[in-house]
Amino acid sequence: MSAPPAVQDDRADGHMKVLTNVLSGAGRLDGAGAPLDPQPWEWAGPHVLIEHADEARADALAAALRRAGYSVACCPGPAAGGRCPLADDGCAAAAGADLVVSGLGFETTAARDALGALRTRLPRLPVVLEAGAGDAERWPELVDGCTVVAPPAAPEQVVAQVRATLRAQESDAA
Amino acid sequence: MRHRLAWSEAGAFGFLLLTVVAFAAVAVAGLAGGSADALWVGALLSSVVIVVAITRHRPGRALRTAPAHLGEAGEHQILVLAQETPSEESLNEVGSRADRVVVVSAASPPFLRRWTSDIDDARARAGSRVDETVRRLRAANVDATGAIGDDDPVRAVEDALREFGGDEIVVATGGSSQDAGVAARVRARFALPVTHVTR
Repeated sequence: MSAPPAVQDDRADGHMKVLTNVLSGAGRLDGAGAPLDPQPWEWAGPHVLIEHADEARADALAAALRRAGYSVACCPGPAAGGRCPLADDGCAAAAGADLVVSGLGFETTAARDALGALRTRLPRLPVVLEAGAGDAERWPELVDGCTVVAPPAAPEQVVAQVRATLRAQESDAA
Repeated sequence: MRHRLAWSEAGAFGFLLLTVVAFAAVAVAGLAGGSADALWVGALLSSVVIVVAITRHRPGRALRTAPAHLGEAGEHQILVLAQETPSEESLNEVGSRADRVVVVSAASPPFLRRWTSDIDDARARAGSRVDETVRRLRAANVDATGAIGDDDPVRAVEDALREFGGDEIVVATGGSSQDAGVAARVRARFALPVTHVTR
């Protein structure tokens, strides 16, 4: 009797790609690859990586987070027709972040792969995730463990969740 | 900084393929028509490889970053990159929205002068732009300060943000296509609202 496949839906390809990348050392986070340009965490303060394809939305979140005392880096995620910063820069940027606000959505395989890669490579990094109720049911392995906010959440609401998530993490660490 | 042509593994592989094809064509031309023909084919294909590699280059959308807000809560600080002295109208508009304005100007000497470290004139002009802009802002009762920045405009903004902070960037230029490039670079680099004003 043959063993059942590990993953039975269309996410298998994406997960296998992530696994292959991790095993082969591609997108490594130890600085052995090309240096990030710009360096995302040159600024002082707690660092929040904002992953959002919508630049205006990313800017609104960035402004609110900056006002709350966080340094920010905005990553557009896998852009159509362009290179995917998340495949190399993004994940390397996340490695230096204190928290990630992810709003890439779940519609495309590329966006799900990006979130999957992030969760796989940095499982302890807190993520505040913009996700609807349906997303949590359909993609539990991507959503579980994240602080979920329903889109479109007001930037101030996202900031409150960021603050609460970081505070909870500090309490856990203590 | 990453090499312009090696922006991704796929890009590098494509460049390699083009080069291999070009060399193969040169070899065939050499065998079929002699060394002079091979020289011409080589020159032509080398040009094609370079042109294709450059036009295929897509810089992608890189990370944009910004520091945490500095200063009092609710205070709005505008950083002006004065590659030209902004117009009176622009300065009034900036002053009306800002609690504090920081003016920085990059010397940006021409390539040859930078290469020979002959940058005194460029720095003097940058200093004049900063002085004039700060003087006009202060005359309008705006809290303003300024400094000559790095030769590279983006680096000048980066240094000023680190030292003084800023919630918004205004890039003031003369309006040439090169100036538009400066504004585009600033916009692509920082996760802050960027406005480009020209004289």
